[in-house]
Amino acid sequence: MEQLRLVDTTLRDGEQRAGIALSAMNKLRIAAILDECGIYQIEAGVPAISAVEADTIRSIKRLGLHAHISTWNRMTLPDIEASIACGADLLHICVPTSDLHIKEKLNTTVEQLIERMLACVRYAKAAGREISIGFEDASRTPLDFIMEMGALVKAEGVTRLRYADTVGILSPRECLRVTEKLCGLGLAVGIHAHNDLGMAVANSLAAVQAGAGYIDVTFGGIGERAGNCSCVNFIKSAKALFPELVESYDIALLQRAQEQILGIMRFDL
Amino acid sequence: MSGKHTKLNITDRSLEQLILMGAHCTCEDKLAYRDCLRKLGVHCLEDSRQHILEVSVPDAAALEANSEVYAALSAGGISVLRVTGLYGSLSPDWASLHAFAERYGITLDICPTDELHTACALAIDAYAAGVRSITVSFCGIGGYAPLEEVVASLYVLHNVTLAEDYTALRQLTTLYEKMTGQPVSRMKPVIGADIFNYESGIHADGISKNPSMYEPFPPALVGMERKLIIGKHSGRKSLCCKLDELGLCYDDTLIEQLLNRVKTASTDLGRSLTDSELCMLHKCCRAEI
Repeated sequence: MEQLRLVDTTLRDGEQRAGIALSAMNKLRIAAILDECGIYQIEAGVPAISAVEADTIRSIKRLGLHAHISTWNRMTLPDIEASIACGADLLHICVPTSDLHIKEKLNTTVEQLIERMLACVRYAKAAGREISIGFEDASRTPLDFIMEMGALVKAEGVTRLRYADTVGILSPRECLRVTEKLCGLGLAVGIHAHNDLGMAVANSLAAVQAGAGYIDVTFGGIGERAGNCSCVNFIKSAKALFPELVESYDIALLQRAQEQILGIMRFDL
Repeated sequence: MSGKHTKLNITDRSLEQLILMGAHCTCEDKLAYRDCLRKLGVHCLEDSRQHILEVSVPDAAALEANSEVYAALSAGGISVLRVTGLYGSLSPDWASLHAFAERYGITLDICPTDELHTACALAIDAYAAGVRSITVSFCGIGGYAPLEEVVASLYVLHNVTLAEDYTALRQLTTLYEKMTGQPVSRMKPVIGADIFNYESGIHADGISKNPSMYEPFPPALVGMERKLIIGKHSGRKSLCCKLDELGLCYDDTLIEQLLNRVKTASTDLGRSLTDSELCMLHKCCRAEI
């Protein structure tokens, strides 16, 4: 049976946790560990942060791992250019969708937001890169608007969407409802859950139940604030609820990887 | 369901669990602990005068089939049925559980367990389905739904205000750490010491514009403060904010140089920088310009 695909963002959202900083060598070591666990996609970082970070991601790509290497991008052409230059397999583009983010963070209008999003998608497409579009703060956005945005990028040839519960305020009931709706667009759907209310694993499980095929995780659940969906905890629970979807994952291997990765980060849970 | 019109009753069983685990609890500690729970609008399990039957089942069907439960309820005298377990589904058959309790004219209390890391989610799902009596455990001790996650979720998702003042969660955390002799994880939802720290340029920029951009609820609600950290992921804006906070002067050239230094130093050290380290780098940059 087709296995769930884990998108590991330990090297991006995990490292983004206040207090954590990884050297190039440590990012490479962690990428190699992730690959051994059967992670489908490694979100390796944000090339736009610095030339060193961009170089590191290029090196990760050159390790020739099985995992797909992706980068995280704001909706700007310089970010996209930096990612293309790194040789990333897949570009994840973050599109803020809540009113709060559009008006107060980007200080823009919906029309301009759409224009910028499409310009970025076309630019990355022209460079022959696979794209995933992530709706930031989606859980505080009317679902109709998310659906509209999803249809727009589908028409541009985008094949995957990511629903981000940026401040961790989804309940599984709501997550099930929105994921079912999103899956109806005929695109691959991923969930990016935060643990602010302690429901990151439960929400990710609900997304699977609704048809999501891509689950964002981090090792140890590290990430902004109370963290992200913990890889080990998620797989353990998924083995109980949908064993046939996660047969290929080895708990002992994941557990060992978690210890190694947290050791490299010098982070105690 | 009939439960929708009754008052919400949250019971905490962490004190029981702490005692069972042999935690060091003085009489004063226990009194202070109870006082915190009272401030949070939560009942303490030990104080309940109800006649409770507690049963652990995987689902509603197993409850129906349980002959011991049937015998106990038929004998009479029970006023509350507390159901634990129920972790086999993300949304158990609450209606059947309700109907079962109603048949015996008793209150249904749900006490989800955390085997699949879904206990808080189950408590909230039960609430959404009309269950009005929920049993939790502070910090999830004993493997139940964490009190702090359940009350915060009720507040954020369902506008339920159990307490006038949720800052008692801080005192409760301190007491809990004293009793167990162990610090609570710094990233524990709602009560972890570092959950309102932020560093990345994107988050710092967003929070400077409107903190709710990257916070599920204001830190002050639970007696905490947000804290800007400087390190590898800092941007120009967050650096400016921090220098303002520390009363250090700067211009565009200095910020550019200092930001590079901060990123390099933080990457080399494998962690963020302390205020005094930042002051030192600031001094170096000023001397060079």
